[in-house]
Amino acid sequence: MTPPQILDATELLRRIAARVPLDLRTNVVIIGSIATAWSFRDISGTATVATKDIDLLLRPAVDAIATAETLAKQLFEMDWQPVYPNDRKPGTLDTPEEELPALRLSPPEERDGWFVELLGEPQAGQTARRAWRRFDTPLGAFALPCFRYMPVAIDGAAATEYGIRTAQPARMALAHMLEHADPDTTPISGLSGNPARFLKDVGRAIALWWLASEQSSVADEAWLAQWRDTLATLYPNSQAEMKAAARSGLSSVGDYLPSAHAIALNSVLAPHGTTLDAYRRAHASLLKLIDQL
Amino acid sequence: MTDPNRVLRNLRNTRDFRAELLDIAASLADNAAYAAIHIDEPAISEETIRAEWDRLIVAVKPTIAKRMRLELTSSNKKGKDASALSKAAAKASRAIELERPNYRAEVLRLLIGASFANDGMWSVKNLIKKIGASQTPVRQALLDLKLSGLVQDWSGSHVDIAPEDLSAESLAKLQAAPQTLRFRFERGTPIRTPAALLERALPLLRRHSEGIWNAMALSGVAVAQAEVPVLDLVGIPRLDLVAFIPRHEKIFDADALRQLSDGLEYETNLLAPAPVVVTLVRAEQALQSDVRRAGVIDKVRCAAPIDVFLSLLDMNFRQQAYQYAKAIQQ
Repeated sequence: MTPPQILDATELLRRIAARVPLDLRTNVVIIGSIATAWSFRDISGTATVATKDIDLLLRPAVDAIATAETLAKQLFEMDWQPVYPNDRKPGTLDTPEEELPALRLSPPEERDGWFVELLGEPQAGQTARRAWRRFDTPLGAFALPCFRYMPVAIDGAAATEYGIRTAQPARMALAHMLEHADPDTTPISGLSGNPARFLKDVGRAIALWWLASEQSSVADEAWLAQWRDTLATLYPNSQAEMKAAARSGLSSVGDYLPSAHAIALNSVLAPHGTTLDAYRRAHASLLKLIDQL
Repeated sequence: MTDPNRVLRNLRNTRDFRAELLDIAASLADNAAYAAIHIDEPAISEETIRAEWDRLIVAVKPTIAKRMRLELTSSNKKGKDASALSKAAAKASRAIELERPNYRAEVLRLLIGASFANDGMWSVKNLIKKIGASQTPVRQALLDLKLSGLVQDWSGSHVDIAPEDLSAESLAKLQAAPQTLRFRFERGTPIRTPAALLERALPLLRRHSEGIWNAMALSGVAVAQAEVPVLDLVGIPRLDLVAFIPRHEKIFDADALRQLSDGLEYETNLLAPAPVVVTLVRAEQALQSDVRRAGVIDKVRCAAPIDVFLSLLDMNFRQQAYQYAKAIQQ
């Protein structure tokens, strides 16, 4: 297993944006650990993050396939190379969508380092946790993984000076919690102990909240305002249910905080050495915050 | 097929862990199921278990290994081990038991406040009303202060005080200092400077919300410097806050202080330097919002001059306290 690298979010954003065609930049939102590092770059040590994958979410759903095909073609022409961590190769016309690989591309100058991974905004009405959408490239067929709560994560994405947008921590956290109202226990084979997926995702939500509290003493106000805005926009008729779902998702890690903490410490909390007690407090105060929704 | 998941409670050695892990791997060999090995309340460390997992899992066929996962259950719920005890201690340290209201401190505070406002002498009746307590403790406190010579008695019904007669030592000797709660950074947490803590306090003291922050005001050097810029003070040695707590309250929930810095914990040693000091005011009059001033620092709730004066004395800035008092009275 290749260990994660320490990557500088600003430098990465600049390089990625430079390779995304100008007219496609509004269709790309950076999510995940690089978006986190960018959002919290003013906290000492957080401008860099231990990761190796940079998640690019393509939106809107209706254009995601066309954007993926254009972007893939452009990056191949710039000698970016596909990465197949699960040994799953590009498919043909006959390959079922769920057996197609996601497209991960590493830049020419850093073959063994980081890579970008293309994700798609789900189509309206997707209820399955994840759907795959096929797209074709000169190397064969790939698929865009589309997670159902990605619209929550990218709602109100912040503009950057590089013309590419990044997801906001409060919304990424909300998406993680909603996603695991019914916890996904699928093991993540790339991490020590093959932890269940929900531990990584919900644990990330807690880490984001801890970072937000470090960044501002009144982060609670900003998070509540963003959550309310997103739920009113995306779920105008079921806000109470979504609040209950978020609470349920966050509660799911209550018994496993040491494991969730260990995963977060190897990722977005790596520069901070956040203690388990501090992590527990963040979990408790995030629960309180949901209750104020 | 039998349930491939396993629960190991009170795991005491890696041998049992290895046996279970390999047994699970074997049970997954002829099917596509997923399985978890759940370790509950281990007697050996989490690091040891994870290291053993990492060492063994590479020996399992990858198609099976990726369907296995390790789960470690938090042991804090049952209150048995060290982390549970430390959590209980941490929780206890956030709920700070309050001393009974110190009426000597409250009487002194009001008299000095009156002196700052050039209200002159105060009637004993007025004092009792402002403090909001019954007559006996207030009269007893006044008597003690008169005997000490700090409070001047005029005709038995009116009293007066000269702020320049006060010092941290005299207040301590008379047990007339207000109760202060001191906070330090717990071990292993990032240290913030008092100036950084002040920056984080300002928005909390501007907004109107539920909870303890609504009953707090900024005090100390930050307010003194804003009101009297010529004071002989450089920088912020500590963050001073005043909390207006009703007399009947017995507990101060210090959890809200973590909004200033997650690593702040209660410091029981009154002599140890503390980056954050909260002074408690228990008089009835202090609960009225007009004693918290919003015009000193852009909409930030600031303490009354008397509280700022007392905080300067508490820091042993005696000369600066008098300088401040003089400037305020003019």
